[in-house]
Amino acid sequence: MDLWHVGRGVVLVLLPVAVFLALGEIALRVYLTQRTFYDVEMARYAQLLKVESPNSRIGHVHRPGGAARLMGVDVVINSDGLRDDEARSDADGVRRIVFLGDSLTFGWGVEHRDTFESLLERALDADQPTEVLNFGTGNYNTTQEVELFLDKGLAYDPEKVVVFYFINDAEPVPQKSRLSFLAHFRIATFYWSRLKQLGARFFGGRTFREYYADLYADDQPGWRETRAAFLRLAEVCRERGIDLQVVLLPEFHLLDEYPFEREYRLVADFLRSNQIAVLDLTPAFADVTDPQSLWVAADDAHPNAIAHRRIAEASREFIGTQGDAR
Amino acid sequence: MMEFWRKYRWYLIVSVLVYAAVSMWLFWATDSPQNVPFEYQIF
Repeated sequence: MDLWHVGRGVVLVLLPVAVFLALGEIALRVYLTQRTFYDVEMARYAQLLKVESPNSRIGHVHRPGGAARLMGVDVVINSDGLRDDEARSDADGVRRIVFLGDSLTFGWGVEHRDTFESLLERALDADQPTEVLNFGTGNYNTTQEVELFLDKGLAYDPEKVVVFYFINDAEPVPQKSRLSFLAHFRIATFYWSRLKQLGARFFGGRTFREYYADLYADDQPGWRETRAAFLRLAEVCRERGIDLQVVLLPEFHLLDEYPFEREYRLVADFLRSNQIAVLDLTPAFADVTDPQSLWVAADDAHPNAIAHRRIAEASREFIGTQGDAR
Repeated sequence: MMEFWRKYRWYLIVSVLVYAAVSMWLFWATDSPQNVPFEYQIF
């Protein structure tokens, strides 16, 4: 076989693939002007609003002053990397509360004014001058949340810290992938996401249920790190006289027969045994028989504005009180 | 180049159409409520 035949064979294989990928990328970008894909939006979030943190235990932080339209809503990051208004400079007599959490606390897919952080700030401020600082960042686990708080949250001298815990917060700290450049291509994100779904549906891939439950096995490093992070945060808060509370946010796939009762009991028991006040919001959603009515979109089970309102209403009294372990 | 195109054009066109059809099927087969864990780090 001479060089000409080899070259022709390579061209015949690669050319249709290249043409297809190029046309697919164009078609997908046109299609996405009319609707959103969750995975594509998350890839855009990482591209547009996240930067690497010098602290490897934090991993990534928000780009200060960044702005983007994601999942159909405007997201604006303040000068300190928070999805929040600029912190008040005239904070005398105003109590400060720091909210730590992941994309749910960040308010993914929800207008800022409709997030439970904004709603709670307005409700608490009506009782007593209060400023809530939203440290919620997508893809964070508890270790990253605590590290971010120690890195920049302490400087705000908060009176209280509330950790909004979600079932996947026991994941290990994510490592930056060497393939991250592929996130620039919508077609690559589309295939990655859809093939994963196909695997879960037809070929026995792990569903969200198995995946989340497995995070809490005794030997899982993420769950071990989560417990260590909570203890570290509790110690720092005790030393500085900061009130610490934890709110357990439900997973929004199945609310009337909650599949993660065992896992949340494990988390709550651990926190209570270490004198950390905890409120499990799962019972507040037990009447919901149509969970998708609380989703941001059909392909995105993050809580929408209605769910955020319910979270705010169900946790207001707890957050308004002192965080004695209960 | 033109000779290459004339010789293999149907192979190339049919290949692209097959890829497109598989993609459309993938889109249709997975256009349903989220059934996998949240994945933030896409790659």
